[in-house]
Amino acid sequence: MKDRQPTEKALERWATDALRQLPQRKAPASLAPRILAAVARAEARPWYMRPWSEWPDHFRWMTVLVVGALLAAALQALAGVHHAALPVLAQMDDQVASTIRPASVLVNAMEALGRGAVHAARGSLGGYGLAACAGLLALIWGSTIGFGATCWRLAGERNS
Amino acid sequence: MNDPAQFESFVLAYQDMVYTSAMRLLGNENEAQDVAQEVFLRAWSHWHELRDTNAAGGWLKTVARNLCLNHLQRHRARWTSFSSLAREDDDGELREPDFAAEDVMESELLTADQRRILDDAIAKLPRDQRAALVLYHFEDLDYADIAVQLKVSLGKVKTDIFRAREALRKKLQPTRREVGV
Repeated sequence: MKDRQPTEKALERWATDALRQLPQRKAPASLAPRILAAVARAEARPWYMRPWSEWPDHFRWMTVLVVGALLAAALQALAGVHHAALPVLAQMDDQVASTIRPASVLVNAMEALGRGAVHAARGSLGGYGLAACAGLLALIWGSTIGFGATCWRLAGERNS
Repeated sequence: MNDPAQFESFVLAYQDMVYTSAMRLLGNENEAQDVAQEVFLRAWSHWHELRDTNAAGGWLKTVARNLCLNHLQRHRARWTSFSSLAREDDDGELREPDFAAEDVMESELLTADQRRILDDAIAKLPRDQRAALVLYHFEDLDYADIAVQLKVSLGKVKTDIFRAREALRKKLQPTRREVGV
C-alpha cells in the first residue's frame, strides 16, 4: 500500500516550487489602449451616469433635499393614517390595543420630526415657496432618475 | 482633477501583473482582459488615493482577485457542469494518488519550455480546480479561506487542489523524461 500522506506532501512541495518559477504573463499589446479608451469613455459620461459620489455638488445637495422632503411627506402621510386609524383602534379589544400602542409612540415621534422639518423649511421659504421648491425638486428628481436609468440601460446594451 | 498621462504610466507598469492574476484564475484571455479593464477602471475612480501610494500593487491584485471570483461565481452554474464537481468522489476523501511518494520529483529548475507547458496546463484545468490551485499557490490563501471564497466545502477544495497538482505533474512528466530528469 502506498504511503499517501508523504506523497501528498511531496506533491504539494513540488507544485509550490514549480509554480513559483512561473513568470508573469505579458499582457496583450491591445490591453493598455483598450483600458485607456474605456477610461476616456468613462470620463466622457454625463454626470447622471456616474456614481452618486461623483455627481456635481449642487445635484448631490438637491438629492439630499429631495429625499428629506419625501421622507417628511411620508411621515406626514403616515401620521394622517395613524390619526385616521385611532377611532378604530379605540374600538378594538383592550388586549389588541395594548399590543399595538407601543408602535404609536414611534409614529408620534416620527410625526413630530416630520412636522419640525416642514415648519423649519416653511419658516425660511414661506408656504408657497416651500411647495414650489418641493415640486421643482421632485420634478428634477423624477426626470433625473428616469432619464439617467434610460441612458444607463442604453449604454449597457451597447456595451454588451 | 486626474492626470491621464500619469495614469497611462500606471497602467503600463501594472498591466502584466493584473492580467497574469486574472488569466491564472480565469484561464481565458478574453475574460482576463475584461477583468483587467474593469480593475483599471476602478483604479481610475480611486486614482486620487492610489497615485501617491506604494500599496497600489496590492490594491490592484486584491480587486483583480475579487472580480475574478465574482466572475467565477456568476458563471458557476455553467462551469460546474463541465467540471469534476459532478464526480461522485469529489466532496470528501481524496483518491489514492496513482504514483508513489518516491515518484514525485524533487525541487528542480524548470526550463522555459516546461514553464510554458505548466502555464498552459493551468489554463486548461477545470475551472474549480484552477481557481482553488491558484488561490492556494499564487494568492497565498489557506484551504479554509479558499472554501469561503469559492463557497464550497473544505473537502472539495482539498480534492480540487490535489487533482490540479496531479494533473500538472502529469503534464510535465513527458517533458521531464525527454530532458532526462
